[in-house]
Amino acid sequence: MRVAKSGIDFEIALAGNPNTGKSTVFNALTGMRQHTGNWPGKTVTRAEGDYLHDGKRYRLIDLPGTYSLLSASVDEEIARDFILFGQPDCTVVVVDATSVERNLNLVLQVLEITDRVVICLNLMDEAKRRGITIDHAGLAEELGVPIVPTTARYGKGLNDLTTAVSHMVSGKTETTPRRLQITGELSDALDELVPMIEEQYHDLPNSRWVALRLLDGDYAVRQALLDGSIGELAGGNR
Amino acid sequence: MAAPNASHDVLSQADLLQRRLGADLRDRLVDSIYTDAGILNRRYVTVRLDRRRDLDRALDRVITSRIFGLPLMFLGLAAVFWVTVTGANVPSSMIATALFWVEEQGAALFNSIGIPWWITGFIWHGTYKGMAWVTAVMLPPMAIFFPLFTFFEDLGYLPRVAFNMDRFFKWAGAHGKQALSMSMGFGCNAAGVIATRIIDSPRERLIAILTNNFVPCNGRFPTLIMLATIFVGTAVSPAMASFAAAGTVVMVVIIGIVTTLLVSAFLSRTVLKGEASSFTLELPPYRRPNIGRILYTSIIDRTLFVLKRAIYMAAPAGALIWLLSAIHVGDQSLTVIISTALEPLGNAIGLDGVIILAYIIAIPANEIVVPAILMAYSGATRMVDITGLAELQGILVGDQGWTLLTAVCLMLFSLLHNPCSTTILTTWKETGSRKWTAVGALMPLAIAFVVCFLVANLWRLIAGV
Amino acid sequence: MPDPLTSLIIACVAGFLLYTAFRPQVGWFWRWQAGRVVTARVRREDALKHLHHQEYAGQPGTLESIAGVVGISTGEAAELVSELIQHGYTQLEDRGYVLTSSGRSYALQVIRAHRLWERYLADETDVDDVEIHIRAEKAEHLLTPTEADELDARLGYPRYDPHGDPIPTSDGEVEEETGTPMTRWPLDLEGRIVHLEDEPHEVYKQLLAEGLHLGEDVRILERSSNEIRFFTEEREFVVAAVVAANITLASVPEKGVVEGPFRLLSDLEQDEAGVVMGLDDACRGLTRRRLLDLGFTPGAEVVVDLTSPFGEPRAYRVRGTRIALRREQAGMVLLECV
Repeated sequence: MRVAKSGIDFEIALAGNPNTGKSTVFNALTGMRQHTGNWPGKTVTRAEGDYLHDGKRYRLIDLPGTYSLLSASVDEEIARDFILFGQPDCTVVVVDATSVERNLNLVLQVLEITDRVVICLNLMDEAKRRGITIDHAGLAEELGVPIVPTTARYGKGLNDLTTAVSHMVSGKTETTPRRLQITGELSDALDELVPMIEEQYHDLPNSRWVALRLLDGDYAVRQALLDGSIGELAGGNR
Repeated sequence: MAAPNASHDVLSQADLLQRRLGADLRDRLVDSIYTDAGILNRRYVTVRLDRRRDLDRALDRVITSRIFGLPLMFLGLAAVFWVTVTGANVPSSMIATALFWVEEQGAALFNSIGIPWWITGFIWHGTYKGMAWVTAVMLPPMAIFFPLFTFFEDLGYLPRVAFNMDRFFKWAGAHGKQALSMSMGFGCNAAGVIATRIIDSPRERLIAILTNNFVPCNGRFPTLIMLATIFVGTAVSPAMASFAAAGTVVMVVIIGIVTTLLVSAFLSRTVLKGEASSFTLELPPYRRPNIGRILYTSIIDRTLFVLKRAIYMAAPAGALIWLLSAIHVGDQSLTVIISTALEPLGNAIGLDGVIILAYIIAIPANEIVVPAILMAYSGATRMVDITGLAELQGILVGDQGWTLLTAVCLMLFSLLHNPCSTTILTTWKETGSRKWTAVGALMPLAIAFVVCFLVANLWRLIAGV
Repeated sequence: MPDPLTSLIIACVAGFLLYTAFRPQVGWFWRWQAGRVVTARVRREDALKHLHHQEYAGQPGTLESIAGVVGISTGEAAELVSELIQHGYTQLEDRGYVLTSSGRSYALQVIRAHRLWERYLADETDVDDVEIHIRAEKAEHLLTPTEADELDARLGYPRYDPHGDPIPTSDGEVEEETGTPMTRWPLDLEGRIVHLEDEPHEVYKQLLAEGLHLGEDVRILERSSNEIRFFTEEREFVVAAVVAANITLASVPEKGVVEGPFRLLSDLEQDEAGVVMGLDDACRGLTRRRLLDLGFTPGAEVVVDLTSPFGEPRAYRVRGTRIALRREQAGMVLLECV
């Protein structure tokens, strides 16, 4: 699944809701060093671009803007598949500081899939203008991953973002991602299914999420389980 | 690697559990995510007094109000066109003067060093002239229109347009977000076709693709603006000329929107049947536009990109037109022969043979239609260069016998006719279907012929010509 | 060039001819196209489907019944049946034609394709309920078993089609249909609609026009030999007994009953606020998932923020964002009564 690209040291996925200034972050980081195309077999735009940090070359992949990863549409499937099977070295989730609650929906889902996440709390200037204050340190602790406040349109906070990403990919940052609070019958069903999955794939980092997707009838995850590509995730978890 | 049998066990167990849990698993999952998100939001986000949001809301109340909603939209559009019309006039003629001066000098240079006349003609009076025309006609309006348009886009106004217009699209069985892809179509129809990707439902997306052509793109605006200025602008007092011209262009755009809705409604009641699907549209808050970024995006990404493409297309077209007028069969040039042959067809729809010929040459790119018409006329009559609108009017009305009917029909034809080759190619890529690509190309052409035919003949009938 | 009047008249005549040829649904062209698709395969599969239906009803098929359903003459039906016998799909018993086991599994495959396709259209597209059946009638002959399996997986292995009919599994197993026709359901016992029969088509259309849908809870008030009066959460209905026979009810399960009275989001006035209780059962597939993703989950506060110039759509403030919905979608969101 993972293709080694010459000259690229790290691959970073950029996820986020629509209208969060995600493409502004993307443009601000990569500048002119980007090219666009389509995701294989899909009419969905795929943009990639490179940036340098501390002598390392990072490739940023701009995922389609989505509200969720529960595969309701082609866009969401692409974003989900890339975060799961593309195994980026780090996933940056761009969050609109003016509507944190709705954006957390996506963040919490991403945290369920991967623990290598940096949250970019964008549009801080808009939030300030609207009298919104966010205790981002507290929120970061609760979510278990770093949060970097930015105002990408004026280039503010982007250095902190690239630093946070570099710490994440080099393993300097410890993460303890928040997991979904699941109770009742669903929780019982997971308790039954998760051990079965883990028995097969010992090191699978997100077995609970895989189980959740199976229970929701997710086609791509079923296929991945059948053809064994889920197993690569276990092995590939560095 | 795990044994495949074990995977099957997991799956059948999952199936079993899935049946036991029932169908509302997704509901419960999303519910628990949002419950958690709500808790975190309450704990770590505080909202003091939100004066900005109140301001936003007050603004939105006006922009989406029953009384002001649509008028404001069209007034805004008219203002953009007016600024474009008045602003583009002078730079256009300056660029034309400069570039045609270069043509003269170049041709004179070639002549002085003894290069045969046909090489000089092919290079300078054909290829170069085509490129010069396109630059003069297109660059100024685009350099004004695109930044203005990008400004509204950056501000967050476009989702409001979709919000205001959705009722019409619902009637037509289409999606309100079609308004967004249409807005992109003002810049370039190919871009508009790609922009339909924001529409989830395949049926409504296809409708948006097939009808995007009815929004005049930037390549066609110069034609509309020029005709509106010459034929409508001169009919009123000079002080009102630019307003009348802008108003005319808005009228044409409204006709385009109405056509879009009618064709969408027709499609969704016949070949693309189905009910209007779910419509969800986020109205993001207004954002303060970043002027630097607007200029950068609109000049580099849009204006120069479109201009470059137009010049590539114009060079061979210019050469072709020159060849057609230079090659003589008997004592007539090919231009004359072909346009005479096309004359009855052109006449039937209120145009003439030269215009039809120009449109055939301009299939690769709409933006070269006006230059092609003028080059064909001037080639046929060995005219000198035209640098101002007054001279242009002299040629079209005086020498070529254009009437207001010609102008109206040409505007309608330009609005409705088939999309350019890039748009057709994009449609093919996006739909992956030859059938729909053919529909997307031929349906507008048929509509253009029918509408122009009806207008021309009714006009003649009533005017008694 | 003829004069304008002549050309206009010619054009009008040409336009009229084109209109008669291509007029939606009833134009010559469409009729010709509709008649063209009936192929040998379609006939064969329709006949097998019919025999399966008869088997279910406990009656064998006859040449006449096959001819009637497939839309061919009795002579052609005889040819068709002899071909089916040759392939080993059916055999003649004393009262008529019955399916062999291979014929049964073939028929179930077709039914599976039909119901899966209906499920797909209902969940993922915006095709209306009447059209769904017509389209599935065509798709059932085109979908290969492999494609059907893939579709099944993609849809999350649905058990019922949108009318409540069980979807056969890929191994050819089909769930027993449970439930009781409304004509035999006890008075005053709450029942849930588990099935709306889509044949005959006219009756089905009537059911849809009444606004009945699967999962709705009903209580019968009064029943005579030719009429049934019942009410749902929304209103009271009176339907003819023949129509009611096409509605199947089952007892309401313990959990998941809609709790108490509710209001609809679409009924709120401008600037009025409400708290989401849940989504209507009739809200399925893409629409449901999208509304959930946007935060229309139980407990969410919503306010009517903006109304478009024509009264629709309206923008609602939910979870710190503003989302515009058309009346239909807003009508799917149930609010708590204060």
